[in-house]
Amino acid sequence: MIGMGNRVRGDDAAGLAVADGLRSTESLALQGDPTSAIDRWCDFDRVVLVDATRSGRTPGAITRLSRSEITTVSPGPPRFAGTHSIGPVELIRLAEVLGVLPATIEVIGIEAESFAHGAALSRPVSESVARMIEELDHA
Amino acid sequence: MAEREIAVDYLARVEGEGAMYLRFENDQVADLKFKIFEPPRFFEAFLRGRRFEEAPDITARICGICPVAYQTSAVNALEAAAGADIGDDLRRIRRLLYCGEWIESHTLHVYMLHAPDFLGYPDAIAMATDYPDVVRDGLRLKKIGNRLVEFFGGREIHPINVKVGGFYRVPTRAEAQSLVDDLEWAVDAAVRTVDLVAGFDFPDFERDYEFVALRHPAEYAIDRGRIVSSEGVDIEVAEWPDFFVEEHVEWSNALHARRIGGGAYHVGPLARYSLNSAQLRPQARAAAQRAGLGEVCRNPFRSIVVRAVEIAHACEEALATIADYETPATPSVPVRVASAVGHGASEAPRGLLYHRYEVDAAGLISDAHIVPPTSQNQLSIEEDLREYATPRASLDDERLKWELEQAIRNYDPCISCATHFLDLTVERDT
Repeated sequence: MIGMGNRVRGDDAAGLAVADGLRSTESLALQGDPTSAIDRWCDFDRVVLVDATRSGRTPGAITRLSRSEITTVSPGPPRFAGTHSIGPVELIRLAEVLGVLPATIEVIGIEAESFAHGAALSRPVSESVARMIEELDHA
Repeated sequence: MAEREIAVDYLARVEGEGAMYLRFENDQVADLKFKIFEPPRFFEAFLRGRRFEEAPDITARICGICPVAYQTSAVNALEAAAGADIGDDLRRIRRLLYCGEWIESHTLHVYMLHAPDFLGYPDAIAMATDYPDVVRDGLRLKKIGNRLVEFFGGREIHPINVKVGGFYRVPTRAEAQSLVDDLEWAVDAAVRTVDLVAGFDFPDFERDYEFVALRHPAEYAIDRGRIVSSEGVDIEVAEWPDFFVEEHVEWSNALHARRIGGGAYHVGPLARYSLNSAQLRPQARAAAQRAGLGEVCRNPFRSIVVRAVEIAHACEEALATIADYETPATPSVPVRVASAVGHGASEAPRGLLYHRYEVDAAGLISDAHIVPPTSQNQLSIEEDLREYATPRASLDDERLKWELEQAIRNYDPCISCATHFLDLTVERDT
């Protein structure tokens, strides 16, 4: 399981919080260069990426995207500017063209309430984080 | 009157938020602005009232791509204020850390941001479909840069191991040897990169820049030296304010720097190469010669070749330094700064980065001045755009936008750093 996000931007840390909480699942809290994830997941058959979403749904809402659904997500402005703008969708596209995608890959989004600087996770997001940890550790 | 406007509202493949606006009247450039709208960052104000020891950790936060440059210029300034010398062993580690940042930052730009321009792709992901091995090399090289930064800096982004006076912890000789295999591969990969990018098609475009960079008699300057220019400037770092000035313009959140009594100047890989190419490491120098760069390079589009040469240099330098690495006797030397002013500079991947601090009797920073490379290059970028666009007014809007965006990316502008800006608009009066 790979969590993506920023620890000092409120609910953007949701994916990292899931990675931190896992006990029996191999996990990585990815804060540095996102492309380094590609090297790590080569060794696994199944990879789950967890990141915060901003889709207008209820805070805490969980979105599950299979590999075929991932390409339907809008990746934002067409750029590839390194650490600040490559998200899970671009990462998966890059791995796909390089032929290094794991057999099963899934993206789980947790809808954020706030991306405020320095804020803790909001309550609905904390609850969804706990639910994801429970589910992934017992999968 | 024939008027035509060309605008890019949000520049792609640059770091931070900026735009470009160009207006032609009868095929003459009537107005041109490189706009930085990324919000101001206020770091210089954050530093006031903080202890001098905090400067490297606070300024590292200015940039996720070149934090080592900020840390190095900060510690250089504060150590100069104290009259302290950290000695050669510790300085070598600073240079190793800096080599990691050059490899990481230049590789990101060469492979992910700039090469797609020359190969005709919108981004590196599209490029990877046809050039998977090239992109794989790029990712691995970048990872090696990251690893160096993490190894000597404590983590790959915003390193935490740099302090005024040296480091919190230094690796042992045995630990450092673990980097050798990766670096041996990296030197070869970097030389392959030079050969690859040297084969791209470059527009026939040269400018008579005043190049400004650090120079040091012993080495291709990265972390120390005097400030020199191709027009004869040769000064101590502390003299920067006597020769250069920053000015506010209403269309940019980044200050524009220029020579006092003069105009634009150019910092970064082209400047370093043109001033100091004789000091490159052997394989980097040989690759530069094969690439046909000559002693001086005035075509900004060829900056991708110079960056690749500098990646090779940084890999060779890191490898050689690790071969001779001895565990330093102490990770740092004591430094106390009080009632003093210090100036420091280093060669960030994008060019000269100047810092100045005033520290009060209690060791608190009372004033800070930080001049990043992108703000020094803004005038030069605008002049490039004007000179490039004028004879190309007959190009259609989309083509012209695409080429002008490339002219901006030649500088690998770091807008986040400079705001303390990219969008592109072209207007034509026809």
